[in-house]
Amino acid sequence: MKKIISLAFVVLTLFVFSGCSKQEPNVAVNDIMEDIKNQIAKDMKAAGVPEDSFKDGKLPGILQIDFTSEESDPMIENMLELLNKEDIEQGIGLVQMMNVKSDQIFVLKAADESKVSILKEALEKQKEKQEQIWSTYLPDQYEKVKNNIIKVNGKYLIYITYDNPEKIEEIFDNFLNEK
Amino acid sequence: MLKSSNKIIISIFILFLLSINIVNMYIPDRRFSQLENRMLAQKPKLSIKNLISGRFTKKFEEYVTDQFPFRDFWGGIKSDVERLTLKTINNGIFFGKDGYLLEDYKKPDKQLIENIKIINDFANRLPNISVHLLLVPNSVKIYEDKLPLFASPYDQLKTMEKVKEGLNPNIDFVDVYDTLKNRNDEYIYFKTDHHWTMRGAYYAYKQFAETMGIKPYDIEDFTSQIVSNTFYGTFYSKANNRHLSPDAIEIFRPKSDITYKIYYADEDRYSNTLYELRHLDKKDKYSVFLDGNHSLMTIKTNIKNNKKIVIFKDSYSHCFIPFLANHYEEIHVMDLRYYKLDAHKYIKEHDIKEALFLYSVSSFDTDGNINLLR
Repeated sequence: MKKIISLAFVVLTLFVFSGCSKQEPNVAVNDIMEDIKNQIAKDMKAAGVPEDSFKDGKLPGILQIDFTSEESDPMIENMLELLNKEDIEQGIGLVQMMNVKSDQIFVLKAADESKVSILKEALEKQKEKQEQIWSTYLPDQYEKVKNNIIKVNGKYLIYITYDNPEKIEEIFDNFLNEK
Repeated sequence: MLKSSNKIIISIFILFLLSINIVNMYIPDRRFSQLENRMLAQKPKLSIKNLISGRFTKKFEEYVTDQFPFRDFWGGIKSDVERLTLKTINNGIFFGKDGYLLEDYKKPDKQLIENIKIINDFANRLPNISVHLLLVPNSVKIYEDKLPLFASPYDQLKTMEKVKEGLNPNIDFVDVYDTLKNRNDEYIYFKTDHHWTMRGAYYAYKQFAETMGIKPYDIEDFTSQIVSNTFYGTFYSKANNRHLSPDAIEIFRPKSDITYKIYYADEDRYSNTLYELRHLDKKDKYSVFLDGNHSLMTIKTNIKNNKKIVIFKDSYSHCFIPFLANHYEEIHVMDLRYYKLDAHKYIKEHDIKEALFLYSVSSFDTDGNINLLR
């Protein structure tokens, strides 16, 4: 009887421990971004953007940039000035093509743990830049910049300037905490 | 035993605390403060996650501060006290003489050098295009005699000198400093806003046209009209100094009959006027000029001279472009803070042969978006 109980304990402890050891999440940044884009599409439709402007999974008026792209593009350098390609494994941004709106979302995965703080700095610099652009123009857009969220989870970082940043943050959290 | 005078003091104190709270509960929340020109914090949503992260508490504090009863009234008292204690600067805005608010100007950092380099590269990459740079000094330089005692902003002339020296000889630097300085007895800058007035822009236009070999129109060739007498600009909101008179907005319309067709590409919308008068009912009245900031707009006129120009700009250009529009068939106006597509391609596609960079000094040396032209 004792043996059975102790065995049961051992098994239980193993389970408990395996539950504790947090698994390093391994999620593709692209997958997170796809879910974020679905959320944005939903919000845009709710705001009255017609259905037929969403063609082949693209959001109207929004430019998707891949920070790991090989081509040298001033746009990419302009967006996150302090970002070095070597510091990231993956990175995608959503920015306004030409709308006078402050919405911007970036999801980055650091190449390794040591780069996380450097990337965070790059994102904070971006926030400063947005502050500068919007603090004297369009109070409603500036409000979004003030409510900006920069969050780090393991090797993943997210930057959100959006009407409802919490919604996007939740998608990010769910992805990294579940898997 | 409590003295009766103490009792009175205590009850007044308690009554004060309670009444503020009660009023706070019953007055409706405001979304926007006209006076401060900003959105006010709204009641945050309570959730466990927000509470743990500390975001709820932070937001709630902002909410209470922003929605405090009679907020504008208390703000006014603060402004009065500051005036009585002879405060001369608030939020980087000097309280100048004769009702002038002037923004402090700091020594530029490396962004200035960077921007000069980008314009040089731009001109080198497009050798067939004539490139001009018009830097407009800010009111803090033109009206430096109005600065309060001991105010010492960095000299904008030094910045302009540096730009002039750094530019390649194939770029034409239009120096309007003397022109504006000599006219500073006229109403060429707003007192409560960070922009120049359309009258100020006229003198710069006149000089610019002459350097371009265009014959500028005389100021008498335009009818001038004051469209608002109640304009309180961005400096006013920043400075929180309530004892100032508002600015007036003057617009100029050519007496000759020129027609314009303006296309706001970001909103996919057409207009036939350079002045959107509906903005006069709002806080940001400067948007009357070309409808405020747009990432890309084109102005087509009935002047068939096949002349086209692209303008990279900040909002100083908005009251300058209406003058220039009388000499061009097409003007393409690009704001690199918002336009994130390929500008080089755009210039090629539209077969444009002239480019003008028009910025105020303080925004030129801090704008990190010009590097999109690389």
